[in-house]
Parts: sequence; C-alpha cells; structure tokens
Amino acid sequence: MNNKLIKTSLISSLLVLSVSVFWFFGYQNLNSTVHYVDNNFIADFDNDKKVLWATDNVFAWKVIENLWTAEVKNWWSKVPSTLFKVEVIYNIKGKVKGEVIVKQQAGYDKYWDLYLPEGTQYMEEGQTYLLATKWDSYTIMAHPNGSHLLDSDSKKSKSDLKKLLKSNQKIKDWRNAYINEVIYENGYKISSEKNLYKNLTKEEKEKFKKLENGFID
Amino acid sequence: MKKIIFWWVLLLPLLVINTVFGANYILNNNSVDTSWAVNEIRWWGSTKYTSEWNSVVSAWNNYGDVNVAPDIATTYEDLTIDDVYVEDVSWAWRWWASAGADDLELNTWFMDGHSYAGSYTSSQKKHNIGHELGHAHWLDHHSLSSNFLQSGKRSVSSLWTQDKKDYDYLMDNVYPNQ
Repeated sequence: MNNKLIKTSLISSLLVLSVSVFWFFGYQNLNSTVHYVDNNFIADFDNDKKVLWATDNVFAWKVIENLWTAEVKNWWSKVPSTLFKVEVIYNIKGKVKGEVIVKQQAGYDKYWDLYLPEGTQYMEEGQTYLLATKWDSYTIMAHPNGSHLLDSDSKKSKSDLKKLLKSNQKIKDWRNAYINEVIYENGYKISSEKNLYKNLTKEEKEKFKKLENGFID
Repeated sequence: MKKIIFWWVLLLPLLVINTVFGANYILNNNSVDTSWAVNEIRWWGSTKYTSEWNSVVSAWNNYGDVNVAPDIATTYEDLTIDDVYVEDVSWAWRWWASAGADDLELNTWFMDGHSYAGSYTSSQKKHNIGHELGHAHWLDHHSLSSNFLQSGKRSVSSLWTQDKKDYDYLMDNVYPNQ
C-alpha cells in the first residue's frame, strides 16, 4: 500500500468520524425541542388567594446560580427538574432568609430537550422572581400564576430592587390574598398547613401590615 | 340609516352567539397516529384506576373516529400512561407531547387523598383521565362547565357539549382518515 492511499484512507476515516460526532452531539442539540407540559391542578390557581392557600412559602428572590441538577427522586418521571441557588429578598408567606435552593419543575433532558410547564418560563441567573413554593424543597408551583418575573437586569442593586418591589402590584395582591386566606372550598380543604396567616401572633400580624417589613436586610 | 340599523339589529345577536358559542378549543399537539390510514391512539403502561380508565376510553371510542386501544406487537405506541406519587406539587395529573410516545401521568398522592386536598371520587378520577385523553385527541382545555376539558377538580364521567363540538370539528376538518 503506497503512502498516498494510506493518507486518503486516514483523511476519509477522519471525515466520517467528524460527521458522526457532529450528528450525535451537534445535530441532535440543534434539533432540541420544547415539550410543554399540561398540568391539571387541584384548584383554580388563576385566583391569587388559592395560590397563597396551596403553597407554604411565598417570596421574591434573585437567581444566583443554575445548579443544573435533576432531582434524585426523578426516577418516576421523564420530566426533569432543575435546582437553583437563590437569594431571598422579600417574604410574603413564611420567613426564609439568605441563600436557599429552590426547585423548578422544568429542565433539560439528556437530549437537551426542554420540558416546561405550559405558560411558564425557564429561570435564568440574575433574574428576580416572585414565586410561590411548596414543602421544604421549595418546589415552585408549576401554574403560570405561581411565578412572576419581576426584573431581568442582573446588575440592578438591592436598593433599586427594593424600590421596584415596593411598587409591584402582584406583591400587593398576594399580600392581600394572604391576609384573606380561606382554608376550605366547596367542603374540600385546599390549604397547606404551613405558615398560615391565622397562626401568626398578634405582633406578627401587626408587623405584616407594613409592606417594608417583608424585606430581608 | 334605517337600513344600517336594521342590519345591525339583525346581525348583532348572530355575532354575539358566534363569539360565545362558536369557539373551538384545539391544541397544537396530540397523540393521534394517522400514519396507517386509521386514526388511533395506541397506549401502553398501567394505572391502578383501571375501571375509570376503561370507562373513559369507552366514552371517547363510542363518540368519535379515533380508536383508543392497547398497544400490541403489530402497532406503534402513541401514549404511555403511568401512576406517579409526587407530594411537593399542586397538579393531580399531566400530559405532554414527546418525540416518541406522548406521556400521561396520574398523581396518586392527590387522587388517593394523601394530601390536604382530600381524595378524588370515581367521577372526579374519570374527569382527570377524560381530560388528559382529550388532550391526547388534540383538544385544549377551557372553563366551560360539565365538560371533560374543563380544568380543575370536577365530577364529569362523559363527553359533554363543548367536548363533542371540538371533537366534531377535528373529525370534520383535521383528522386525515375519515
């Protein structure tokens, strides 16, 4: 076999390999799709009061980091979840402080396809959200009214964010919904047991009246 | 001028009727396989709510052209059904379109009453399954009462006016195999 033939064979093999690698990793990614998940909820969560009743912690936060971690328990479902490290800025329901890990019922699978609850958006680092969560896992409600983007500017200072939050109508609506919590609907208990307004002390209720008191220093 | 008023008086009620009763609720995805000169949804998987599942499958099959049936060796799976047990969410069931078979999950945490929300009666379970099978048929949800495709926790055991209207529309205009 002469040198020219060896060279041609090598180049051809490399070419075939490159095309295969591109197809396997590149082409599939280029064709990644969004799967919109239709969730059917236990109550009509277009109603702010019901969002507040059915969740445990409701607060505004800034997304610090996408941890890209699908939850361990995810073996039961094909829909991935993503964990985010966030900094709490403002509490409506519950008393969460500092940096916590929250879980969004959305994420990418191994084919880089995105699974997203219908009407919601995938969170990004630097964004500030108002979110309603359940359990100690701080799982964000998958309903469109369970998460609201407040700001996308990652460079905005904390004092500027505070100003923004103070004038935000959704925060006012959710504060009002929390005060007017109703635990039963049509004979069904739809409320979570945690952090109910009725269980706050007289002093805590008095403190809650001032919107400024919800901010974390 | 009199003519204009006459036509407005005549047409306005028709416009209102068309706006209120004329809409169809159609999704942009579905599980219906139309590739073998038939309209069918071949399902695979299992659920503990067998009697409710069979009853609802019969309700859809009895009304329309799409055949909902178990997947067998000679057919392609179009829909995978599963029972799941998830506590930290607020949904009782969900459906989504995938590249292969689409998926339908029923959350036993809510259906069996482990949560604060109370258990689901048989007709509420039928509504859950009927609703998701409606999505698999291409129907979108809405807030019109007594229908499978009405969202929320409801007691509905069979297709109702809007379900039938949307299904009729799909059979007349969308499904290729009549």
